[in-house]
Amino acid sequence: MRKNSSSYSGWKSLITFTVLLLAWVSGFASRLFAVIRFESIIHEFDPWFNYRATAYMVEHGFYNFLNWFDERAWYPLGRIVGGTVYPGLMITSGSIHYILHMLNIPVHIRDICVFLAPIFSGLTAISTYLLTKELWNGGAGLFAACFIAIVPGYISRSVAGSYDNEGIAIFALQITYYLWVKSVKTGSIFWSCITALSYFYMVSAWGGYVFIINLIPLHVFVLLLMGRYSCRLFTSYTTFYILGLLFSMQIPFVGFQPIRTSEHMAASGVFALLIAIGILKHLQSVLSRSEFKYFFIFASLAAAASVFLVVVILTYAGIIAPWSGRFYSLWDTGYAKIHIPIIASVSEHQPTTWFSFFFDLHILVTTFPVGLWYCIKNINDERVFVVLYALSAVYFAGVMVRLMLTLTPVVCILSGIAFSRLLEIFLKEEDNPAATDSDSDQEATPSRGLYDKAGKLRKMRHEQLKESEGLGSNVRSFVIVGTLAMLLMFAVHCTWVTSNAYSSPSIVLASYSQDGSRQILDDFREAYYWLSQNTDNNARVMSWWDYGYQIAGMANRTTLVDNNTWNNSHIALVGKAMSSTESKAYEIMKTLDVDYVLVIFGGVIGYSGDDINKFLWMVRIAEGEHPKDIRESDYFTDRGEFRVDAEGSPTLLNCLMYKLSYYRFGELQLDYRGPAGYDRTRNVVIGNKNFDLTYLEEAYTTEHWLVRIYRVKKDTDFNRPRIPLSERKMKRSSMYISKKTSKRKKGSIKGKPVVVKGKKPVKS
Amino acid sequence: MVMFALVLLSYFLVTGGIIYDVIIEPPSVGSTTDEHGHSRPVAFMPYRVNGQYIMEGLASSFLFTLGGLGFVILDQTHNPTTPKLNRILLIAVGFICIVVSFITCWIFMRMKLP
Repeated sequence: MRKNSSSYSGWKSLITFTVLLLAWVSGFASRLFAVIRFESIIHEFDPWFNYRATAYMVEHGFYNFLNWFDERAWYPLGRIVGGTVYPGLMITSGSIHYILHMLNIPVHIRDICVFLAPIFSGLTAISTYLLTKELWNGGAGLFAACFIAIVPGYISRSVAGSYDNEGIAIFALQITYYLWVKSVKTGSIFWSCITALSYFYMVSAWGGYVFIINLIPLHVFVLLLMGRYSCRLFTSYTTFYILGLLFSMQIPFVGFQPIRTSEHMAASGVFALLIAIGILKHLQSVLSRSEFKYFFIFASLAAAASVFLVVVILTYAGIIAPWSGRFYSLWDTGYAKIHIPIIASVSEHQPTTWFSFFFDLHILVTTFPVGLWYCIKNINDERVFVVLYALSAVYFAGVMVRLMLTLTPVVCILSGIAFSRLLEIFLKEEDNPAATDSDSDQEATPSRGLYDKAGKLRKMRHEQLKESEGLGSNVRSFVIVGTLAMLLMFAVHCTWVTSNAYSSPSIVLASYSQDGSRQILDDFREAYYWLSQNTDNNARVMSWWDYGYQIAGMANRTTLVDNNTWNNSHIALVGKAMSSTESKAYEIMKTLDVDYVLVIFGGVIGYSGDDINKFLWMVRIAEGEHPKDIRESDYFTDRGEFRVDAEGSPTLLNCLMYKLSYYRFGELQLDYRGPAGYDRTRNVVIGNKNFDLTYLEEAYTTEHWLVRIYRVKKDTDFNRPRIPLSERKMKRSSMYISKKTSKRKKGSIKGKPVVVKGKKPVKS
Repeated sequence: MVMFALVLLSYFLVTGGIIYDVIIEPPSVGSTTDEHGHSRPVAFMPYRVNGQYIMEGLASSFLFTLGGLGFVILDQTHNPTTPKLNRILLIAVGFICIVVSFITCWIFMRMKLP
């Protein structure tokens, strides 16, 4: 708290640096719960594919990775991996691996993959700081950086081990927005080129880049509507758009989409509009007023006609593709429920409830509108941007739980602004206005660092200083302490949510017994390891698509469908096999060359995410493609309930999924008092206990019955039901008669003299 | 100001899960049967993180908005023309808004957590 200016700026940068470093460290540390509790392991489903692809790239080189045709997925179709992934994630971790190995630091690629997301969370915090600093001031930026480091909405996607696109994409998103705001502010080509470059990185990392390419044009458009056209805007947007367009088309997966699909059309439309306005502004400076008026009417008529014609022709010719289903479901919210069950079946595509908002954002959910209020009150070019960002992100987060992720950064920014303003007001000393600026700025920083207990001491001193000022100051310090207490609660809540809700690897399950000791259920890895050791290298494993990536990644076996749900009819075929009776399913499995079937069954340990609970989605997806064979209503009871006990519908009790899940479960008595065959997940005694499998045989069941693997019998070792000899229609003849006559015998010489005993050979 | 009012209204609706209500169509208030066989209304869908009734969503988003307004009121206090008593009253009202909304939301969350 020196008063002279040079040491003041020194203090300021020191505090900034320290707070950002602390934010990085605490953000990194709070994401490590899963690693500490379990081990350094890749989580969930999609990360397994990313990890497998990264390992492939590190092993075989980048160009082989781009040309990789994966014949182990989507049997018998295969998958062109290089052309269907966003390669940014793999390239990022691959290059980190490369650099570390150049420095002779031998780190396994798996560890890099596990720790990539926590490390990038620190970078996200820094880019959020920069963005907020551009929008408001440094104090708000520090608040925002600390918020984003620990806010659960972002942690849910970036804990150690969740090696997914979102982990690095949020960083790319924030840095792109920062650079965009910077380039609008300065109007320099340099900054807009950098924006396009970082947009390129974002495109290579995540499909959410569509959000950027729609939000930035929207920003430009709204600025135009508000009459805030400027040369800076023109330079930055045109540079960004052209470069960004060219860059984004370099990603194989994106290809020609930016000029062909409707999602990207807004950007080019705004580009044309901006150029038109630029021309008009220029002409306005050249022409006289009456000439300009005449020209303006003529030009606007011509422009409207030509735009209309172009759109009609392009749509008619089919060059512009319509909206893809995933984006369409964002606007027409009922669309996915009716038309695309495969999108609606994913739980993270469900609409958001209030609980998720509060759970993921906690106190920030109330300060978000406050920050918005400040921004609207003191509006300028870049604050228009953050307001638009906030509004669109709130809407999208309401439609899909998953898009809470794009809402979280803007909530942190706006809450940072709100808290910084609040503390600025309440920490201001009325008598001494000269000192206020430095005080509020410096006070804002350590107060946020409260949860790592850095700012407490200074706070106390300040309070005592205030109390001498009378009643007003008393109330003020009361408010400040209350606010800080709330921030403390926020930090506690974040840590608690991270440790309890978002840090389970979901590959390894843990259950706690009553005395607090922990049991590890490692059934998934047990089953996958069994598959990799005991089955043929080319064996094909059928399972529901959720487990495709894990089977490919851990067991290294061919799968039929996986989490890259690009082929709906193939998935529907698997769904049909699972929901048909055994004999019909056998036909399908034979045509698909299935060797093993893998089902997840949680009835023994009470694991709720098992295949029986997902079963209705299989039926629905199968019904969408095969409406004649599968009807969803068959699987419900007369009263419209889905139940597996004795009252369940007979179709359900005889379908393949039921049989595979409950095979021999009726013999299992889980505890002494309970009945046999008691399903702990659904809390019922199963309805169909005694059945036998004809076309499949049990190959392996893990320790807690979580994963069950069945072998599909081949035609050769097929056990047909035994019919007594007397009832057989086809009688087996007792003697074997060779069809070969003596002349057609193998190896006989033509015209060989036949020797008959006791006769002389006859000359022919 | 009109702009902000519109924004706040849409925020109120979205955080209340209005889109969820439109798509899933839950009942406005749930009901349960107690041990005497009487049907009692239940405002909160207990132990379901991904489900809600319409009223509970609106109630909690009202609290969110209330908390936000509390912060705005706190901001208004630094206007130098406000008399001292008014200022203290404003601070008290704003702060109470924040605290009430915060604590109530927290209790709501506790009710829904398993």
